Amino acid sequence: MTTNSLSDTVIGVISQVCELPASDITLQSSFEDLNISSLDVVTIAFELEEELDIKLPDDEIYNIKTVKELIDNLHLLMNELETS
Amino acid sequence: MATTARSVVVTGFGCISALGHNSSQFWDKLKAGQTGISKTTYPSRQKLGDAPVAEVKDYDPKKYFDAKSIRILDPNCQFAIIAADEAVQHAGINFTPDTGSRTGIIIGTGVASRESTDEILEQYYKHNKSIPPYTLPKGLHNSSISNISIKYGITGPSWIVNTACASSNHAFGQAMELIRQNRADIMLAGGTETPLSVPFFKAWEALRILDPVTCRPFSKDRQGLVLGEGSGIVVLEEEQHALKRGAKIYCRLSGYGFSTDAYDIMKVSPEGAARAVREALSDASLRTEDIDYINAHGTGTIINDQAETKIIHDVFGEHADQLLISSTKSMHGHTLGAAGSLELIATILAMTNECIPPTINFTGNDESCDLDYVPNKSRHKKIKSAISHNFAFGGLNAVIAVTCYS
Repeated sequence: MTTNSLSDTVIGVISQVCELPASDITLQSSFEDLNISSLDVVTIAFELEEELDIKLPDDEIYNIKTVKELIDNLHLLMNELETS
Repeated sequence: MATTARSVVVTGFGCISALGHNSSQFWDKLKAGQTGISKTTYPSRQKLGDAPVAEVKDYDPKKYFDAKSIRILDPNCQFAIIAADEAVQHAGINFTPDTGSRTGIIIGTGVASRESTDEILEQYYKHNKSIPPYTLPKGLHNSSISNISIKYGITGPSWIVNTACASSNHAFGQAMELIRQNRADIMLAGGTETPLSVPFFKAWEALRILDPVTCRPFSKDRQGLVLGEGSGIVVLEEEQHALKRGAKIYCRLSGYGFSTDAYDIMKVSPEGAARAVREALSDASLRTEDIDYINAHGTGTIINDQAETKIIHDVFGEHADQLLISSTKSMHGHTLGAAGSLELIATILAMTNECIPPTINFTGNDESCDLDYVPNKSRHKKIKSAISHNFAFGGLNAVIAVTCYS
């Protein structure tokens, strides 16, 4: 998956889980700015795991603060899975 | 009235039930003796078949909540928020950080979010679907108080009471006590319940205490209770606090009585329940002859109604024949943990409207139920003081006394 299509997937999931217009979500958006609650964060992680068939490490989920950090984490994880 | 420095008054209330989505619809139907009981109207509950239930009709959560909230709030919590919104609006309270810190919430619930959990577990067991992360927060018994507190910025003492059918009355008593003890100025208290999950309903059926036709408390042909859903929230406020802000005062919450039977897991002990009634009267400094109306627990089971009648005879003696007694469960069903909340609101409305709601579906007394249950038609009556009974499975009794405010 390319970085662009991963970004689209992540923004789509955030938009769907949080009922936010996708146009309001940018890579630089922080979860705090988007008024994303702790339950939203874990639900976003769950939906992305279902969609991408990966598992985000539990201890990282609550430390992610921005959309970009989430995408970077997923990208890293997917690269690791590809090379292993 | 109790000789306490801080007394408790009612300044607002709200509810959603089989009798409509707000307290005004609730009262119109109670007064008219209209039933909220029917077979289910929701496809998701078709397995209930033709069994009578008292469900909240025509409920569309989209009228009240956005899609995200609907996903994470179980109807048990949605109903409590709808009732609390009406109650807060009714009381005319604008929550500031100061007001919020002197306000708490106590809500009774027996079953909580059973239907949502059933659905998720079915997906898990039958289709090996993952359990979504909102399952736990959605299913928490305290979801209602937590979400109401977040919505209004209520930061005082709050908790959930889970004492089956006595939950709401225990909530009212505890909330009253917090105000008396100067731990809070305002308490939102009440109950919420959504017990119409099919497996849970079948568990009630297995106890053989559900009436297959309708709910007919104290009537000679009664066969059992009818489960219902809904929520009622009452705004309790310290009297001087209410007067200072110019709030409309509906009545006093003048006393409560709690007791435990230590007798049987299902049957009411007349001695245990009578102690709760006496304690409520004593706490409110009321004599038996001061009571005009009892909103009875009146479930419609053979055993409850017989025992409750005996309790009334034992406590009130000769005055029992002067009392007007009704079971509004005949119309809104038995909402378990929310029962006391709807019934206290019915009692407050009866007092403020000088009208006793009837016990409907009543076809006649039998030997064990020989009092005036206000059969089938409401009756005009000025009420100075009233009590509301709740007696739960497991022998937990909670009685609330209400006095006219003048």
